[in-house]
Amino acid sequence: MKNRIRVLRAEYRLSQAELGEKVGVSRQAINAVETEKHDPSLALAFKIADVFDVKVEDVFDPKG
Amino acid sequence: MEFKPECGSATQRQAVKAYFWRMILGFVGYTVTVIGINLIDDAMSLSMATRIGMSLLPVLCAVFILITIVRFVRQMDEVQSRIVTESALISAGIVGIGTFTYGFLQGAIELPDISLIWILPSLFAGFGVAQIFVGWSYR
Repeated sequence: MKNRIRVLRAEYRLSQAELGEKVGVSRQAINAVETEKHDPSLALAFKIADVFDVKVEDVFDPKG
Repeated sequence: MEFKPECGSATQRQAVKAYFWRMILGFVGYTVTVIGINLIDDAMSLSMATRIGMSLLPVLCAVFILITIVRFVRQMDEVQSRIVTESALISAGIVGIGTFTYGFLQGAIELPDISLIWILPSLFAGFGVAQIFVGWSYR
């Protein structure tokens, strides 16, 4: 699933590990979602959007 | 099991620590029971019922190890548990089809019997190797 995690991380100056820490998953999980190798669960998608204070659809594009 | 998931949070680090010690306990228990059974069996003449009971002791340790692994996988994040699940499936498929094929070949040509005791170690070995490749594909 296409997403804007890399861009948002850069804006918030967060590493993958730091984002992972905030949402309770490993750096590997963040990397897998960011590189579109894994579609996140709804819960994880909401947590990631929450960290960046945006809506889920502003982070993830289900049509992508 | 060789899998070392990344520790993303304090909870995960705690889970890894608990898993590590439970696995050591399981493997030490397994080793002690296997060696102990052989020593006792060689030194004493035991009844059949006792021998059967003793021979199943290592199985209890294997069950403990399996429960430890399942509990640990439940505490993993979704990508890590996906890696473990895919690896387990690949290992089960390879060992299952391998033994199935061997069984058919035994019917056709003369091949030595392989003890069933090698199935579980084969599953674990296949699981370990599969995790390297599956984990790599998610990096």
